[in-house]
Amino acid sequence: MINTSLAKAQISRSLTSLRMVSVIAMSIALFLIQYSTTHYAGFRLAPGHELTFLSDVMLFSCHGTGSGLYLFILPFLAALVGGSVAAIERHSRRMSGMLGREGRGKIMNTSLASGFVLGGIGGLSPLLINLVVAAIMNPHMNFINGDVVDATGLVDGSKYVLIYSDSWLYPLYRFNQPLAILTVMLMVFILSGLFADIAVAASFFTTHRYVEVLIPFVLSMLWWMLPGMTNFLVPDQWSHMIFLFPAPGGADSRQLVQIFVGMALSVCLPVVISASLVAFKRSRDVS
Amino acid sequence: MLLKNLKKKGMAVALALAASLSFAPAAFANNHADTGWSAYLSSWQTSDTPNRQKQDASSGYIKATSVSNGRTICSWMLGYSNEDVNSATVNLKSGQYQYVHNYAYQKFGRKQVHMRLQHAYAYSGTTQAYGVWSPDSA
Repeated sequence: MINTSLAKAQISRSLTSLRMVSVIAMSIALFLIQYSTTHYAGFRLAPGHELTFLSDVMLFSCHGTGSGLYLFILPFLAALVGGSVAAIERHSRRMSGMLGREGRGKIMNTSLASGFVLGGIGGLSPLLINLVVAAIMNPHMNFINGDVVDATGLVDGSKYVLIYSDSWLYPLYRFNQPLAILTVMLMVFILSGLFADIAVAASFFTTHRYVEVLIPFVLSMLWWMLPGMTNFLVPDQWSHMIFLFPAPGGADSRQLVQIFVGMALSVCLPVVISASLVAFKRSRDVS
Repeated sequence: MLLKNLKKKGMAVALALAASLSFAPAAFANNHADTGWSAYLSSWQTSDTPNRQKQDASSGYIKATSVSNGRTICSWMLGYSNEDVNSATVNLKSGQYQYVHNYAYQKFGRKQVHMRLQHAYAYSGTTQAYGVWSPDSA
């Protein structure tokens, strides 16, 4: 069970905090990086393609370096907005009073719930701001064919490609574009929420301020570096930095399976980590 | 003696003519012969092929004979000092090849150019890739 009035207070306090302002500032910076590296890099996009606002949106356009940077700092953005809800209560000395009234279990559950929502909002903010600004700048949403490779391996480089046809998202993009956009947004929201929950669970053990914000980022970096460290026993596709960026495609059937395994692991592992930390904290407090 | 000299001179002229005729097609062709490239790519770092002269307005050509670990790389053309040549950017996996549209010749005339290579994704660790390329295409 959770305390809804406490959850609402935590959410409204975090959404009006300086942390949220800095996430919005970083979102604008990411959009500018994405736009400039798409349009003013040492290459030109194929001219004469059908217009779509997605051509300037991170994750949906295979051009620009904003997508990689966004996914790199996603765990940090999520934890910055949602990862410190419990730590802020403790450092402002409200926690001891709340523990007496509500009990530790309820406070933990409430913090995890509001941390999940806030982390989702923090992680999704750059993509959402990018979508809105791009849609205002270029209010078109035509379908761009991503099928450009023939049987001999020749890629038709004269055509503009938004999402390559060998991407896991392409069938959904071809079927229904708003559904494809919503799917990616939902995935970003859920993963961000789970990253923030790792920070919330870790904050039950930390004593110094802001330490919990870095923990999901460090864990995500380690997970991302595993392919090189294990001589590719762990595939690239298990990292959110690869599967959440569907535009460049390049996935054969084996890699498609690895992508879906990576998605499942990216949901299950944070849940297991957060639940284990919370269970350990509860057992330690009881004993 | 005079006949011998004339014979020698005649042979020299014939040889010179034959040599110039055999090289004549190369003098008129563009720079589309394939030469190799190889690269170790890490994270967001880029790698360049050696420079070669662009000799006409045709597209460049690049083939990735091998890209390690099933990864995807991207490539585009730049001038000798990394000048923008309005090149298209292309994605490549092992075995794929592309013609790279560019305006190097239109902007600079005959010009040394190279292809720049980079990971298409933010992969961790290094990727080994090699293949062939040419600044012009047949």
